[in-house]
Amino acid sequence: MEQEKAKPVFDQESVLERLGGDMEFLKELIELFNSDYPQKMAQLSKGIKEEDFKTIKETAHSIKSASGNLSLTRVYDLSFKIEGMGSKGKIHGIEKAYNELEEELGKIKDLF
Amino acid sequence: MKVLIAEDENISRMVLAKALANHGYEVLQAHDGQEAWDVFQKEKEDIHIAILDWQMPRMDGIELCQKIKDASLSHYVYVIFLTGKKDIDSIVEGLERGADDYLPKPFDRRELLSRLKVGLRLIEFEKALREANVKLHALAITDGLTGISNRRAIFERLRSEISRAVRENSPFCLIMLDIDHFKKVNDIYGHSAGDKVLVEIVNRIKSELRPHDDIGRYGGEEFMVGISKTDSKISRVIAERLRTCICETPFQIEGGKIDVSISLGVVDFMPSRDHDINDLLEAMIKAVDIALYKAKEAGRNRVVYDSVV
Repeated sequence: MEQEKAKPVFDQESVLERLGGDMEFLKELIELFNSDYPQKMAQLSKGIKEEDFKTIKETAHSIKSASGNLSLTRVYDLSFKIEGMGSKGKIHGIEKAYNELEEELGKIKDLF
Repeated sequence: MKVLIAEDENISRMVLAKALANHGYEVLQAHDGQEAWDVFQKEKEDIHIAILDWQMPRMDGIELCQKIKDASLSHYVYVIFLTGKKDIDSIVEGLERGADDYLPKPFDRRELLSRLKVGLRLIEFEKALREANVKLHALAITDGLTGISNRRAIFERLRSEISRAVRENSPFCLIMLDIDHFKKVNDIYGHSAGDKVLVEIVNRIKSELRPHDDIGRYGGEEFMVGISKTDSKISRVIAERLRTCICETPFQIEGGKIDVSISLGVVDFMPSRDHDINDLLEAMIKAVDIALYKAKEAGRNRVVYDSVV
């Protein structure tokens, strides 16, 4: 767990490699991500409250997909974890992972 | 060459589209499976590669992949799945259901590009094979010297024309013609002169026919002509015109002019729905062969008619 936290929040080099070095486009995507995730987090929170595992799984999957492409490494890891919990129908520990995810997402605003 | 990408998650789709566009691919983007299918149907002639997300609203990647593969296009569409790399079950299912390859998510740019190159190799290979097949097919049905249908192909064409005549209840006329004393042309003037005569005969006959009439080389110096929707009165006129177009004007060959004539057998029939196509074709060829034989016996350069009931 400690090791996971030590990973960089953001692997800029790897995402720029994917985008052919286009920094402007990257900023645009991060902005889009920032405007997108609050709604998804609200959905996820609702899913957790209602123990609606299908919603948990799908919403976490969507956050995972976007963050993976942007190399937001820690967001990716956490949403991957929550998606897995959603698939297994495991509610234990999901609240904690959600809080960590929310905290991590908060840091992205200050990326650029 | 266009690449269709179907991905419902906006950022993933935009990153993928950007990576592809940066490397010269023309990208068509769809937000879900159904939209991708709509785009595909509009642009299918230009789409050679499709990169599909697995889970999408309205239509998932598997269903979309199968629809694309079942679209029976004339060209190959190389389908790549985007999938979480640990999900072996998905990979296996995707490949089993028609995908050509898969890419782990999030994709690595270099891996994406090299996997696309694998696809391009296959696409190029398939294209070359398809073009070769078209050429081979043309060679397989064409008489090399005269460019008209060969024996096998004229049989097939006559069979389909006769079944159409039966279906539409319209008359059909079959002509078999043979060059008189053709062996002498070859013996006296040589085989290249003989070939020239064969080509010229075909050209003259074709100029007397309608573009949709069938003509084929049946044997060395024997030809078949099929004329649809023509009653016995007109078919006689046509046969007579074919005869005169050959014998009226001498053939120009190296070393001078020669007179050439042809003998013709003609049969026509008014079909009924009771006719079996194969029996009918066989009966017509037998009858036309006899009519041609009679024309030869009666002194050549003439037309003999018969009819098949």
